[in-house]
Amino acid sequence: VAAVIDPALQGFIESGVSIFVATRDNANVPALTRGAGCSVSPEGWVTVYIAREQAGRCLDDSRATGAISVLLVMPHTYESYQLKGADARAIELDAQDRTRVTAYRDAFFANLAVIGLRADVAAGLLPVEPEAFVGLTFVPTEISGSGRSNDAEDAA
Amino acid sequence: VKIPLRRLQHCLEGHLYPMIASCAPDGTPNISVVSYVGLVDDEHVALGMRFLSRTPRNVAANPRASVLLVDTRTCRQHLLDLELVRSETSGPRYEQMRVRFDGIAAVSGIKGIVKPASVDIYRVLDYRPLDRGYLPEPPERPIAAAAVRELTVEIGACEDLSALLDVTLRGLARHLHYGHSMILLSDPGTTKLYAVASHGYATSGAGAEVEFGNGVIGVAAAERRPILITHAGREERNNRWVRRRAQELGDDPGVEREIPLIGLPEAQSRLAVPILGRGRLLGVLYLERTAAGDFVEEDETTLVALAGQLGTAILLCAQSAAQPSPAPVPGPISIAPSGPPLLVRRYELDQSVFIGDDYLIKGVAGAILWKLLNSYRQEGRTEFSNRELRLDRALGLPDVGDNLEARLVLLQRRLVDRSAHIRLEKVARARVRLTVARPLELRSIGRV
Repeated sequence: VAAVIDPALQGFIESGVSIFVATRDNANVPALTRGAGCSVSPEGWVTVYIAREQAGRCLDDSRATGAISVLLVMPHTYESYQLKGADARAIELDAQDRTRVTAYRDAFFANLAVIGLRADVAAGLLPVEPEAFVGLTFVPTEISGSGRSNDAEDAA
Repeated sequence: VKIPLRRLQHCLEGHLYPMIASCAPDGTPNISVVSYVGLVDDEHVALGMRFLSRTPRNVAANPRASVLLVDTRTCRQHLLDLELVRSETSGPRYEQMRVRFDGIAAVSGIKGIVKPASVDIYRVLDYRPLDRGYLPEPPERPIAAAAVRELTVEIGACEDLSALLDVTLRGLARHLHYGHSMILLSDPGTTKLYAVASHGYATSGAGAEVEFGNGVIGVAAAERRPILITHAGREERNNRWVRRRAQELGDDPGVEREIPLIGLPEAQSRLAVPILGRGRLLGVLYLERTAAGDFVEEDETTLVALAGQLGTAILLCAQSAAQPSPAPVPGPISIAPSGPPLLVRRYELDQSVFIGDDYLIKGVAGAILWKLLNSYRQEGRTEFSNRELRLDRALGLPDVGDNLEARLVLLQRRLVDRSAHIRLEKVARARVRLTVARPLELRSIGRV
């Protein structure tokens, strides 16, 4: 059953927060990479963008198992949410997705500037070319986070 | 490309926390922030968390984990594949992490709500950069061994405490490029430290007090362990989050009072190392830098070694100062005090001394100054031996470890800072000379 993403959470998910993506293989060995933006479809599916160069194992894992967890953290407040799903699959980006990746870079780097990370350092965290990214789309079945007290232990 | 694990230490101390992915037995991945990463050896790392998270439960059932590190000097990201070997709930490494967390909390004046459950030792199965990195890697810092050797020799050559403190701090700047540093000594019989020497600041800050347990310096003293803070801003943000969570859980830790100490207002890198001698806490050596991530564990190791040398040297200076002092030394031709009288007030309640309207010092050092000024005023004496000060019960020096030499150094420096007309100088081993440039009006104010 898809977890409900309300408009406030959707706004958070689609903003310039830090994003991390975890997957696992058939032997339950986890892999981790950095996300480069997230979008929520009208149907409630979530697509997280990742750089091909950085995310080879996560892409392999998505083909093998589909299990995924996405952690979103606002760098200067530590407000965070974690979305989990079991059916992640890789997609190529369309023009709208690529625009989102570009906008995400700008918003993310602005948030990192707030915590004092130099722009030239921040810029190296993600590739520049929108063509360098792919997406992992999944239906979130579990959402936890610092804003949801029942799941306090997942806040980090 | 394989790189030695120790080269990753810069990844542990930057603006961005490491992240860890684990996997539950049912195959659900989970991501958490890692608060502490220590390099155990070439094959193992130690991880710890300040928060509750699913990671410990996951790795207890499925020991594999993946950690993402960022070197914020180069922007290179590293992925470590790990396997849990064991969890430790006591022992030196657990204590090191616990004290580190106390130090982190102390950056924001929080106490007592971060109690890590365990430090987890992982075998590193593989590690590799995720990408090419963006900025060139800065050159490796030169090995500090030669500089430590030079400074150790200089420390060993010092014969009195005042010179020892100055040589140490100047040497840290000259040989090891620690431009801002201070030494605080413990006040025997109390749970306080007082600043006695500094280097690199606009003012000396002598006499500032720090209670054990307060701030990074106070925690290092209370725990007798070094505290390394590599990104104070990151920790303060994190502490705000911890405090908010604690408030949500009905456990507000409150805020300690501000520490009245000189220092760089924006210092991101901070290192406080206890100075120990024969098992006693003698003081704390504190260093700071504005830039984040400027201190790594190697700095801590170097400074612990130097603080050990300093502790031994402080004890030797104290031993030397406790020997009978030589005969009075002929002083310079004294110039009669001139000008309007200088009002010096002493408050009996706390032995605080004011010169004019300016607060100078209190406690034992205040009592010592009051005795010297009265002897000067009534008997015309200007030279005094440590021995006679020790024998004066009215001064309130403790019987053991009286720290008299340190109190005299503090008094000398406060006089330099706060008065143009009264000086105290060392003229021989265990002997000081008082110089007064204006006529004195001494006024004692009794307990109310």
